[in-house]
Amino acid sequence: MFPVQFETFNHVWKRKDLIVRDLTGSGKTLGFSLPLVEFLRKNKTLGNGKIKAMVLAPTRELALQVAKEFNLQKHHENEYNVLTVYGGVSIDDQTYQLRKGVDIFVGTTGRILDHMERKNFDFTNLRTVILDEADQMLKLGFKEDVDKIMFTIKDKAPKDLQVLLFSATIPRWVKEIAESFMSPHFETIDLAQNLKNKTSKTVHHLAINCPW
Amino acid sequence: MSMQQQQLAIPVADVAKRAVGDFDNFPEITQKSREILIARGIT
Repeated sequence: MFPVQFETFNHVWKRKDLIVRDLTGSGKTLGFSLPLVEFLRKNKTLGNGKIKAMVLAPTRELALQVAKEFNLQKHHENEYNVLTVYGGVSIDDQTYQLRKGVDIFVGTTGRILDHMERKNFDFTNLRTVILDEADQMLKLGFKEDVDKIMFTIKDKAPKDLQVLLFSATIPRWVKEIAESFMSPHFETIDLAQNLKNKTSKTVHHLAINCPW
Repeated sequence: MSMQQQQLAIPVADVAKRAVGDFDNFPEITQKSREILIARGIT
């Protein structure tokens, strides 16, 4: 297990609110999905088709990657349903899937807002919301979307909603999100502070000098 | 990659992989999950 997986497991399992700072490609998706799925499995709530976990991702690619990780952890094909939503494709198919029943929901912010406006979500069983690569959401201009989504979720979800926030950097807005939506007793795990480089060690980076 | 490219290519990330523990630290992980993860090469 990588450090992010090792360090986050017990916090997620114990339903603590958490900010995790680590690099892209460090294995954080397994870090939150494994304890989350095991917790829901233990509580025998997986498979009832009610949204229990929601992941906000800055890009379609990351959303698909996160959904794939959740799917890979199934004990059998029909154990639970994972739905990925993003823009650029028909919203009707996603709406149909949502109404049919979804346990874990992964999406990009714009399309999540679309579904919220259409009242396609039932957040009454939501246990955990995860903001993945939060600093990328800020960089891509999704700040207002995320704020709107979080306000709505906080309003409709149970009061003991768990909020997990993953980010490679902690800009002011990320701190504001934490202060506004997390328990005042949230935990912080910083696995990037002592690294010389703020790039992932698992991604091969090359710099090639171009003469023009 | 040509010799010139090799000379120009600068590996940016210099931190070794930091595996720190295994599933034994977490009894909450079910046996079936362990088997699935091990089959994926995650230990």
